[in-house]
Amino acid sequence: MSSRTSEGTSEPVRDLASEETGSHRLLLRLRETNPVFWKDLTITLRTPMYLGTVALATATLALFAAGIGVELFRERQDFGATARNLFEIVLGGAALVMALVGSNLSAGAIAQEREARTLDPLTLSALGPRRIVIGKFGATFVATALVTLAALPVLLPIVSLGGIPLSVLAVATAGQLAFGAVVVAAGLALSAHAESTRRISLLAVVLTLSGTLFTGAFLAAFSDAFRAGSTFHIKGPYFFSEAYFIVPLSAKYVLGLVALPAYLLGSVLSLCYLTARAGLMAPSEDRTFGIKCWAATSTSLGGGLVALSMRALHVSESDTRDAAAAWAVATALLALSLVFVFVGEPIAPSRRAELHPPRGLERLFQARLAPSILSVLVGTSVALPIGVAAITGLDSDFVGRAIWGAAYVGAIGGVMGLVAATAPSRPILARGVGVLALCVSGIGAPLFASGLNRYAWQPATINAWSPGWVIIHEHFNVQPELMAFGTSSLALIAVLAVTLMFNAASRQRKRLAQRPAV
Amino acid sequence: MIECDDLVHAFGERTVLRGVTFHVPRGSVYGFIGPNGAGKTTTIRVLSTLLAPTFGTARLAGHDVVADPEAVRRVMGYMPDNAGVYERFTAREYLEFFASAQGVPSAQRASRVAWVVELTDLGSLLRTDVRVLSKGQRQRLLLARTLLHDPEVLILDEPASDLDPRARIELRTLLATLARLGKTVLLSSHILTELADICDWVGILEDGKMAASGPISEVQERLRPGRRVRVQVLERVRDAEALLQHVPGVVSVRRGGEADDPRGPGELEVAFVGDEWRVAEIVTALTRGAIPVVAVEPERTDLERIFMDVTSGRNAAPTAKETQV
Repeated sequence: MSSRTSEGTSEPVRDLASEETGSHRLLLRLRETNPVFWKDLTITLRTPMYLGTVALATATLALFAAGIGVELFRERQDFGATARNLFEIVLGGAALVMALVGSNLSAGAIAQEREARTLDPLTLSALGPRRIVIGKFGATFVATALVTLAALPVLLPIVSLGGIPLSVLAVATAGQLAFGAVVVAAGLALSAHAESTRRISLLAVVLTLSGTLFTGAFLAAFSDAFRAGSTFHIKGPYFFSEAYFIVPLSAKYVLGLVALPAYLLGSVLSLCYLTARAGLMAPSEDRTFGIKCWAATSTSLGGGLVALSMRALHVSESDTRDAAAAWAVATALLALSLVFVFVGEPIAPSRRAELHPPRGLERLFQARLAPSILSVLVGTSVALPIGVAAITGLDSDFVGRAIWGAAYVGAIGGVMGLVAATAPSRPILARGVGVLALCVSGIGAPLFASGLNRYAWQPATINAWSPGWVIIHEHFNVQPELMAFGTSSLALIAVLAVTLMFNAASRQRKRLAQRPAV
Repeated sequence: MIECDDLVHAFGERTVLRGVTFHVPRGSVYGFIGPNGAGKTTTIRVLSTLLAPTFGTARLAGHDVVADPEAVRRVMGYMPDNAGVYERFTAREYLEFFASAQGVPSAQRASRVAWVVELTDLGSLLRTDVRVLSKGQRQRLLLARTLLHDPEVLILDEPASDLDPRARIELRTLLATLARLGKTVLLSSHILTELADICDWVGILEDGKMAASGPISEVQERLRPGRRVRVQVLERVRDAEALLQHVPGVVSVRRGGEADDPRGPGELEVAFVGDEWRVAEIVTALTRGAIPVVAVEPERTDLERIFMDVTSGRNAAPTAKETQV
């Protein structure tokens, strides 16, 4: 084939490099940074359906704004009021279009490649899952953000009518872009595990719309909390009429208005990234390790952050301490129980672990020597500071609570680890059973304490509270002997569960080492 | 270069590979054949690190596909069956994208693309949109993409499927060129006559097991020992059969087809041990017996024949270890 003479129309192949123009050079630089970003963006921008949707949506918004604007001005005879109403309508419309475009583009970003049978060469290339996911996220986000930017020519004349500060426009646009980032990330996470674009597109749209409503509800809930100290407010851009986004100038609100949303945004984006990356990893690699790290970190950080912000903001003075304490301890305990899943899954060895021994952090978690001790140490060292930070004004029974909490973690975590070690091929089942156990015991523990209280011989001074999620707004007076009995029972369960976990892992190891009968 | 040892793979309860063992030496072209559903694509996907084996090991250029998939991907070029292309790209954009995706340094990228373009004769198509390329041209483009990072091992899954005769000939020429360049090529195909011309090794997979594997000539020798000629006579086919059974070196004589008249014409399949002189002795014996010989034709020992022998059950399919040569 190579010996055939090139035909008359053929291009001298050696001239490829010399043909670079200015724009081509720019594209080359972009491609160097992340080839997938360049590839996906180029393909999207060459898709007539996308371009048509953006143009049509912008034109429709402009016509709609013009029509409604005239009508509103006739009614109110006030440029400022008209502008504010129009601003909300156009922003909401742009958000809706962005959500639909973003969810569709991102849902197809990986699933479509799988359907078109172009994904295998991509995943086998030197890029690796990380660069592929980041490139696809970047390209889809830019294409989605263009919808918001395309609405700016409609929004700017409205802003120029007066009544809306430019800072509001900036905050609203930033909010839109953050929302767009979440939409795209969620769509990509779904797409990485989907076989069919059609089905996943529908799911992504539903998820996005429900997420939109949820975001509005979230903002509304927080707006109630912040309303007292407001200086001015912006109507929420996410179709939730009561979502007032208040921007007070007090420093303590920064935690609630900046740190918490930023944490939530970062947390959601990182989970989506890890989920999408897992879908593109080689099947012999541990696809769940990153997600497990995220779960433990995010849960404990999030719980601590929520607890601290609740205390800082004084949402409701009377319940603050208990609620904050319960939040902090419950989430810390959940995170610690997940540590057992870390231990339970890897010690049921995979073939990769046999051939490719883990290193660094992975090795630390997969250490086969006394992982229960490691978990309890990690657990107590994380749980106690968070608890201490949240529960200011500790009383004398704090140590008793800490011991109770550690025993509880050991019991629930041990059960989760046992399930994880027993069914390594069904990690979702393992986690499901673990979380169920946590929930049931979270509900059960206070009920148990309540029952004890009802039949208690003599009320004592120790307040038993649920180490789970359920907070019952009453103090249970339990005798110290009963508390000690409960704690030691839980400790026994913990030891038993961890021992069984090791036995199960040992059996798994033997089973995997044997050749399956064929 | 490619080593598979006791590879087992199961999709849930269904076991697809049942202990596949074969080795492909460096620089050889290995034809991987088998009926539909035998497990060819599963084996190829395990070798390409796209599936993890349930048991057993597979290595490419010394790298284990489970323990070190990244290293395997670096040394391997994989062309899947019915692979797609980015239809909104030109051929040139497509190749440039994959060159950067494969980590070809920017300083070498233009020359690397030029090399594969020259090798696959895509020069006249560089500015053409990929969506308007013919099937054969797309296959060439995909092959060019596979070669961009200059892999040591090429794994091609059904590269000739759906190609017209001209495109097949072009592909065969290209594969021969790659073999000359020292690449180790494993390709699966249903078009056995095409494979026979370019493969020096063959592996036959049936029902998840290797029925045979090794150099084509040795596999053939093992499965059908001895040589064979077809002798066509104009009359007295029964006499010819009896006569040839007494020629030294002749192992067996079998009449082909239904010869109603033992004194009439017919065809004989003669199995013998020896070289061309033995063929001459067979002809001489017939001539001495005054039997008119019309044609003497060595039996074709192509892949199709081996494949049919192994998969039809005429030869009891030996285990992989028995036939590994």
